[in-house]
Amino acid sequence: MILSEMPVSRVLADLAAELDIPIVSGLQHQGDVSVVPAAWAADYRTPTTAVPRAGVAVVRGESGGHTHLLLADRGSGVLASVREAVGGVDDLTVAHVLVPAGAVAWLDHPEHGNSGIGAGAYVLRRKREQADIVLLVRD
Amino acid sequence: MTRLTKLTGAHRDAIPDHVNHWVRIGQCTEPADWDAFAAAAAECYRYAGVAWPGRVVRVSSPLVLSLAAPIAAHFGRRRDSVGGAVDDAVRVAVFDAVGDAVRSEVDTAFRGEVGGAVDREVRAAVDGAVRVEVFDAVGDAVDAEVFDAVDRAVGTAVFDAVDDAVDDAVGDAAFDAGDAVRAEVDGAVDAAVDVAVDDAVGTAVFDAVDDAVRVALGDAADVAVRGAVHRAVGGAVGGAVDGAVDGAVDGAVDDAVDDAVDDAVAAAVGVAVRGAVGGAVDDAVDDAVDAAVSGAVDDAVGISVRAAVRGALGNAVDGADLRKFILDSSHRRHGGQWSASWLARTSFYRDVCGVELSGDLWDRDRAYATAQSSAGWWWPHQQFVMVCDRPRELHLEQVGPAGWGSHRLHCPTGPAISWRDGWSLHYWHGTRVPADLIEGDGWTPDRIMRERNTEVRRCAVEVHAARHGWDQLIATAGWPQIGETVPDPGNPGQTLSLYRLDHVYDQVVHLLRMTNGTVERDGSRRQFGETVPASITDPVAAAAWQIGITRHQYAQTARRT
Repeated sequence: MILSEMPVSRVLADLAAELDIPIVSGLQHQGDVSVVPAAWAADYRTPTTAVPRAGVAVVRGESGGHTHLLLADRGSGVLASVREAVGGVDDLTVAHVLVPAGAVAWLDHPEHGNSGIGAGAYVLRRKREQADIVLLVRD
Repeated sequence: MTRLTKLTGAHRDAIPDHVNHWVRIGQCTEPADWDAFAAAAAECYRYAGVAWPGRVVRVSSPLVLSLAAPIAAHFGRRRDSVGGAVDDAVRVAVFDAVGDAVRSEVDTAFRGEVGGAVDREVRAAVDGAVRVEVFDAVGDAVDAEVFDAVDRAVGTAVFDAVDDAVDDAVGDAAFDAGDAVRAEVDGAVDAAVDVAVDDAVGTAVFDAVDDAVRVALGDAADVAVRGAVHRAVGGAVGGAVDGAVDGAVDGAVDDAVDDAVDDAVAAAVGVAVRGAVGGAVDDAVDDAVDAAVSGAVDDAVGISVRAAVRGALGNAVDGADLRKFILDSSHRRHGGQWSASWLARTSFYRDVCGVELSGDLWDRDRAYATAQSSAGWWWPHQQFVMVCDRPRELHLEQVGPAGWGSHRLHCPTGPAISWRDGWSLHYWHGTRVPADLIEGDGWTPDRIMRERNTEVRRCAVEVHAARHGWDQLIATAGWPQIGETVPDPGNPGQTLSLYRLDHVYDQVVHLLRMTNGTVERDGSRRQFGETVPASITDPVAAAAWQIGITRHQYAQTARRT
């Protein structure tokens, strides 16, 4: 089978196995994006949109930064809703993600590599800084 | 005329492409399309009913335009007999002052080359604009006013009377033929009167007023008076072009588009179109350039022109007047490519929604939009049009969703915006900084801590930290460490430490020093620092605060890359 015809998750799962990328259901960080269990996040809302085959950018790479891309196989049942965090004190969440039992979502980043997200509900958050105003961190 | 009362799905679907089109125009760094500009500007003059001066002066940067256009307008008139000597004295003084302005504006590193180039550009532009004399400004202003009055009077007394007479005579007998006849008569009468009045006003009134002004006020005061008159003329011309073309179209669009719709679709059009383009172009670039130019003119021309002109002429003519004139002239220039957001709004209604306007209004809009999008700032005047090239390079960063404030100027390695004459502006995340902070080796920690401007000092700290890490800065600045250096539970094997950052931000903040989770290609790990509220005194709590969880939760980190 040609690589491009394979389900995304299988490609990534194969690669993940080769590269020994762990699938984690707890708190994990990929550069300036953190995957936070929904149980710790009062702002979690159940997402309703299936992750498209091409994936969904949870943080877009701009001015030299890299994109954090959320990927899942179309039939996997992984749901995600992406939003813009404007960086207020309580507004860090860039995506709500629900990974059903047995499924995996992948968070891809050119510099930080891949992360496997196991079954569970999560918010994806950016980091903030305290300057004269609260700012979002970009890497 | 059909009013647009709601947006269709197709309209909305077209928004992204429409926005991109205008953002590209606004951010374009190709050389100006001079020919397209000149043709479109001439159309604008025609629609405004202002004679096309036929003299398009190309300038290299907004700094040149902002100095040269008002100066040319101020001194752009006959220099043979009337006030010639005074003009020359003032011109010399002003040119010297412009040189000072340019030299103080252009950074030390480039001073000789760029400063001289810009200085020469200003002189050349002024000379190009005023080389050929048409009418004296005093004469023109009065001329136009008198012409209007006479024209109105003649129109009422002669044209209408003849018109009515012809109508009466032909009227009922041959209704169909009436229009044709009337047109012929109108043409003949109008043309005849027009030529006569033109001749009469052009010679008698112009000369009389000119002589009277000279006799009454003397040469020195004449300069001041001319300045005032020029303001009136410049305002009238600029206003006429703007009002007749842009204003009329805008007003007509507002009329044609339901208020309720405009309100209802504000999110879709007002924000998505104007806001997206504006955020990406207008308020990011135009404001920055505007501020830089105003600052440069204000700082240097103000002081030096005043002194120079006072020295030459005494108190009768104050350089402050010219400085004020230059600074007050900004409303007369048109924004060129950086007016993209306004153009995006009207053209959205025109091209996407197919809103119908009466007469030739859309043609006017197209002419104005073409003039605006073909180049940078431009300055319409009765005797010349001065137009600025597009920038040579432009670097923006997007810091928010499409809309107002979405972009700001930023370049960590060179000018964020520069023009082909070398004039350039350096920006760090939207804050203007001195060129030598960005260029070359940048500032030393000592130099950074001596900087008195807190905004610039903050940028300098960030630039230095981004290039060299925090160690050198921490050592030089003597920022005290808060608490102990502790293991990072979110990054096994690495540590966290806190420092109190004094004199960087308006408020005291703490700096969290940490280590990148990913190993670099050379095997090292990048040290970096991020700021947290000063109320946090525990490094682990600081790391947890950054992502909105508790210290205890952060300690449960399973993986970091």
